[in-house]
Amino acid sequence: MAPSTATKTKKSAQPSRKGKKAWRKNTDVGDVEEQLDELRNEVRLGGKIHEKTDDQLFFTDKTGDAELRKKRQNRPLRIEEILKPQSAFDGIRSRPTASSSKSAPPTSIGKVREVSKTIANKIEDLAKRKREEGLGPGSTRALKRRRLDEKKAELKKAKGGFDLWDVEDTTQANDDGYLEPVAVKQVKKPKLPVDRPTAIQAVEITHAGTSYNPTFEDHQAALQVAIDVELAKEKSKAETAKKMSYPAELDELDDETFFDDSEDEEDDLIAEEDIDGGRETDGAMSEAEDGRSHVKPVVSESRKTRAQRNKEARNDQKRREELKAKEEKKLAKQLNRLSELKKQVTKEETARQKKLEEKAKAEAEAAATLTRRVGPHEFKAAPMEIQLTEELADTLRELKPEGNLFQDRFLSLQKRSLIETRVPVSKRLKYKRKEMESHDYKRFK
Amino acid sequence: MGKKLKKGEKGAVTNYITRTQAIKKLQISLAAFRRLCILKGIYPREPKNKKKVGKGSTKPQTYYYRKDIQFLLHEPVLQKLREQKVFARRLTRAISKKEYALAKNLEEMKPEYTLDHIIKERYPSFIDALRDVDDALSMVFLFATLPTDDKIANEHVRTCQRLSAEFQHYVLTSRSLRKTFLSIKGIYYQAEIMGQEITWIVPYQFSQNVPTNVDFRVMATFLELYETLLGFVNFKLYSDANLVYPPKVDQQRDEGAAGLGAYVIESTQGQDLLSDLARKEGVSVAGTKADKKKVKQSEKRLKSLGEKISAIASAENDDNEEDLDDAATAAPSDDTETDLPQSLAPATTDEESVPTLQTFAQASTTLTQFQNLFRGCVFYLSREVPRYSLEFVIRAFGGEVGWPSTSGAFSPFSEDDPRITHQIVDRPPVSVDAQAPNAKGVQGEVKRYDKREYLQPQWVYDCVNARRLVKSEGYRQGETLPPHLSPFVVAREGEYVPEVVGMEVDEVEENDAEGEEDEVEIAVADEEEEEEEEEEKDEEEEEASIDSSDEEALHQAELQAEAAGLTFSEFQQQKKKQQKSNSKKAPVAKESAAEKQAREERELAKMMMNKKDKHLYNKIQFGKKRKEEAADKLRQKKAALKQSSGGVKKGRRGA
Repeated sequence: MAPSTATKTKKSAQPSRKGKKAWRKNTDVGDVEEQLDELRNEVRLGGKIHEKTDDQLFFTDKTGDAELRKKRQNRPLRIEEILKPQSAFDGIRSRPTASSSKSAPPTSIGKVREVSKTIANKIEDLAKRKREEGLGPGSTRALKRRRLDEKKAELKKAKGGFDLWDVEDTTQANDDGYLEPVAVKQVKKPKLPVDRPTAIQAVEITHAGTSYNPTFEDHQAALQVAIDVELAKEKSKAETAKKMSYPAELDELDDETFFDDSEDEEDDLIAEEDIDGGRETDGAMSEAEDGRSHVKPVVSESRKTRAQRNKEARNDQKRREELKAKEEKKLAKQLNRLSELKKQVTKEETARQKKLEEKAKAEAEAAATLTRRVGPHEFKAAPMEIQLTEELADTLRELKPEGNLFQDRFLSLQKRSLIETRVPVSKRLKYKRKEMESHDYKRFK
Repeated sequence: MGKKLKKGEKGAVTNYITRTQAIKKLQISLAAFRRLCILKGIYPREPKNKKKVGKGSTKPQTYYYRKDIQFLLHEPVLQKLREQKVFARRLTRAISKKEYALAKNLEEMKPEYTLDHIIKERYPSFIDALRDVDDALSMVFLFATLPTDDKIANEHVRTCQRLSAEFQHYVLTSRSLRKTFLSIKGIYYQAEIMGQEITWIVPYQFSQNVPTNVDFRVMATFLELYETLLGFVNFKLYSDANLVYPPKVDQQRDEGAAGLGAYVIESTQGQDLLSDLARKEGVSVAGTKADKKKVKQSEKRLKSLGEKISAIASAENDDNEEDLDDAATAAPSDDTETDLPQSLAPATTDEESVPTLQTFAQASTTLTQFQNLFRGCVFYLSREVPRYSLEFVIRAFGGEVGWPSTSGAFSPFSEDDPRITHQIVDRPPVSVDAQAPNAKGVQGEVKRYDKREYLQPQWVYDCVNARRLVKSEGYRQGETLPPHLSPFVVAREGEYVPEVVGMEVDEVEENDAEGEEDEVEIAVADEEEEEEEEEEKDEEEEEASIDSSDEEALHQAELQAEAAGLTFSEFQQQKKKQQKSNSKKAPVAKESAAEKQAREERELAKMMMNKKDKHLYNKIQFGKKRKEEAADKLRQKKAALKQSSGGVKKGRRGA
């Protein structure tokens, strides 16, 4: 006891205790009295504790706390806590396993009854068969049908089921709801020059003379057009044939003139000349007169003197100087009217530019109506549809249509260079045909 | 010194790619590549310098732009085409292994591509699509007439038939058909939709066979694209006209070959438009109370529309007004609303004068009259005439059509209907001998009705091209037909324009027609001579006004002359001259000051030309003169003919 009080008094700052009065006043007896109260209290409750034995004071607790036990029983394991998924979403499963498919919630309503394994299997089989037969809403067949119908409807919609030019949706909403809608970046069509004959109409109107009941003039004009085309063809054909043919003049040529050696001819000539003999000099003269000789005529000229040369040089120098002076004068003059010249030059330039532009424009216009060759084959127009005067029908009922629209459309595509011109290729035999002699006839009896 | 460049790394070579290279790059077959190119609108190019592009070789090859092929790489259809290749392989394997269940399953999973995004990409706006719809229409109309065989799937033919019928229905409800031409190739039609002239050709029935030299795969691919295009175009057209798309098909009627009648065209308010139009004869529309209320309201609104509309409406006959009321609730596509924007086109082409409200109104009324050309006419088509075309043309101008049961079921009326005004026949009339009592048993079926015109089919087409009902003389059964002229021919300056027979009903109308001729001439005149022409026209107008002896008209003519810059003395001279050569129009009128100046200028310009140009100019002038002379000759001939025929008529009347 004493030490405890001692420490307490030690802690607190000690006030003065000089004199009886101060002593009484400043001595703290509170803790003594507290101890005494405690003692009295212990006595009242069944004796002083420090006088009792350990047995009287303690006992061994063998039952434990019920509350605590309850709490402990329901607490999850730490390992379970760790393994528990942290996200609200399911994890990614690679494919349905036996365990995952089993965990599907029971569909039957009411009390779940336990059945034997064999019966359960039988029921499962039955249900499966029914599902496959297409009975019931969740069956595979119904699902399949629905899927096919959806596909068909989608395909139909993409063939004119909505207003194509009213949709202005370049953003694509994400289904997961996490990401913001993102604008899909469109692939830009490359800007390339259009070098098709764009001026050719998709549906070209035929000549007025190809009316089923044309006027005489129109019909004649149409016939003329058709004839002109045919004549041009004939002409080109004849030209090619002429080029390819064996020229008849070749037959008229002598063999001698064609095949004889030129050397022999010369020899003959020389021999002839030799025979003539005396006429040799005459021949040479005549050659000179004709001007056929290859020798330049010699012009006799005396050498220039030094003085002459000097004079020429002086004259040359003078002329050069004069020319230079003239040039300078001209330049000075031009410098004076520089602005005027500039105007003239710009005028000329603009005129030239204009001319060039016009030319380019005309060329572009011409190109827009002309079918050019793309690829290996040239475009070949179909012959014009026309009926001769005797073929013309009197009434619409008797009309015999001319030409084939199928071909017309196809050639129109080629004419507008939308597709390349092609030539139908016949199938060739893969292997060479081999001819064999059968020997069966030898075995005939 | 810079780095040495290798061959083929710079310049034109890099811009082009050969077809084989392109196919290798895209990893598809040639057929699939062709198909993809057609769908995407990518076509081969011819390089300017083949030697440079071909790395020295000038071998004939097909080239494409490299960038085009690069662009193809991003196409979703490309992936689908590859998938289809794999699919085909798997299917053939399954079939050859006789695993039919697997094959069936595979068939259901067939990868198929859609083309809507390509259409949008190729035609960014609706007008672009309309401009390119000519080709699509011709192709679809052609395939609609083909028989199904191993080359063409039944499905395609059905789709084409549906699309073509839908388009025809749009044309006839919007009354946008303008021209028709019967050529030996097929029938040309021209419609004006949203200011665009759309031309297409339809083959005569049963005349098309598939030729062997046409690559069918190419045509089928184009058809695939055009079917999609036309589907979207039809949708847009229908929805813009407040019609339900796709229109319902009456199965029973379709099977009974009812033709266009098999489609039920409805407005978006749920009213059957065509039956409404058909029922306009007296029978009122049986509607609910709400409907009647609507009708009343619209009537009120119509009345309060003011003078402008009433001016337009007054020109139309009572029948027209009645129809307006009828269709007020049903369709804005009927009369009033669609006419106004369409009328702009003819008004602008008429003259260079400042358009006034009056000219607009006039143009719109003439157009409305043209659009309702056959209103009130009831046609009965005989079995030998082409119903597929005539039904379309007649209904496109407001007429009603019936036909015998031999050419199709569900005709709106029978042959003995008293309403029928015209019967279209195309067979020689039964001769008198055949109608003799012994032959009556055979010919008994051919009964003639007195109150009808028996006309040949060309009459209908000629009416459309002439924009008015032409006289039926020359078109009656058994008569030799006048020539059928192409409406697509534009007369050049100074050319002789033959009139359609029966055009001139009265003297007044004849004058009118001549006026039109002049206008045509003016429209195609060269710019140089425009002024001159106008001058001439002015003079002609004066002459016309002087012709009438009315005092007011004379005053008016004087005023006009003043405005044209003529002095009074000149005017007087002209008047005298006019009086001298009374009826005959003076071809060489005294030239005005401006004209003289122009002529002098031309002469001066000619003097300044070099020899070569002058020769060319003279040649051109000579050609022009010759043409004019020929045309003049024809005109004179005609005038002489007319005079003589007039004399004959008068003589007849006298006798």
